Amino acid sequence: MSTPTPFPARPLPPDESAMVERLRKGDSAAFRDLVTAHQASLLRLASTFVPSTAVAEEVVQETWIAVIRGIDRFEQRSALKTWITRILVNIARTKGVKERRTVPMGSLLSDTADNAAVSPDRFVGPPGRGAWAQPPARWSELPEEVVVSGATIAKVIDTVRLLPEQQKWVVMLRDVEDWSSSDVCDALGLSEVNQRVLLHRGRSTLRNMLERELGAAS
Amino acid sequence: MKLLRRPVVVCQQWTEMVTDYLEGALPKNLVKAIDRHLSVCPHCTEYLAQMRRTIHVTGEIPGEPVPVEMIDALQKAFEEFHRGTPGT
Repeated sequence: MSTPTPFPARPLPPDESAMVERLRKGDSAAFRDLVTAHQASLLRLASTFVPSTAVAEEVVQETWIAVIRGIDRFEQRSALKTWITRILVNIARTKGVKERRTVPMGSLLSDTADNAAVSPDRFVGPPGRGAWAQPPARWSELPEEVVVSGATIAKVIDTVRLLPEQQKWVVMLRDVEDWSSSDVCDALGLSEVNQRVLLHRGRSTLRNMLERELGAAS
Repeated sequence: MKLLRRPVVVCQQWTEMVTDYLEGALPKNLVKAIDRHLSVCPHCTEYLAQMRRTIHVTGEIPGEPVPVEMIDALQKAFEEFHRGTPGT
């Protein structure tokens, strides 16, 4: 089995200082390349945190404006991608809060509730140390086209949107954007332990949803 | 005596350790205890497979379509910024 090391060394991104230098000098082709490389995932990221595509586009737009203005101050202690995402996180957070005043779309699940990965009702035995009474409905071996269908993906997106904010950022960056845990901790200002707790809660919620959706199909 | 001190992991505990397990964040003796449990518990083995598939499915969320006008507008904004502040 693959167990990634908890603190993977971050490989130096290829030629980043050259890119930063070109941006500082006002090389607009370089900027266009940078935008093109990141735009789809920045939009995907933003759109899970704000209520509409229009607001998501605004968030991404503002992020790039901040990049244009701030590139001179970028110290290159993190990857360019991490720095840009950190800007997006801050803008999306501010916007999300503002939008939520008018649009009631906060999370349905609390960040602080001690939500168990699996409902305690499904175990028998001493509290916290039970054995399965109602074991997981089997679906892990369903064919790919059943598991990764458009309908399932749509449900995954809906569920991600309802996760508490911090869990959502961690799940999006780790499992959708495929970032390393150290990059995620860096961008969100989290400890490794916190990051893992948030990831665990988010993934567990998604697994529960998939079990409800796919368990019946098996 | 040594046998008695070996940690034992049961089903419900496993469902809370699975992420730390996948992240490689658990001490060796606990990993061994988990592997012992998994070797005799098909439900928990299924649970692990489900978490792996959950991660995989989540990774399939597609990127948002990028309107080319957006990229054009941003490039323009970049050029205007640099025209406005020569020498920077």
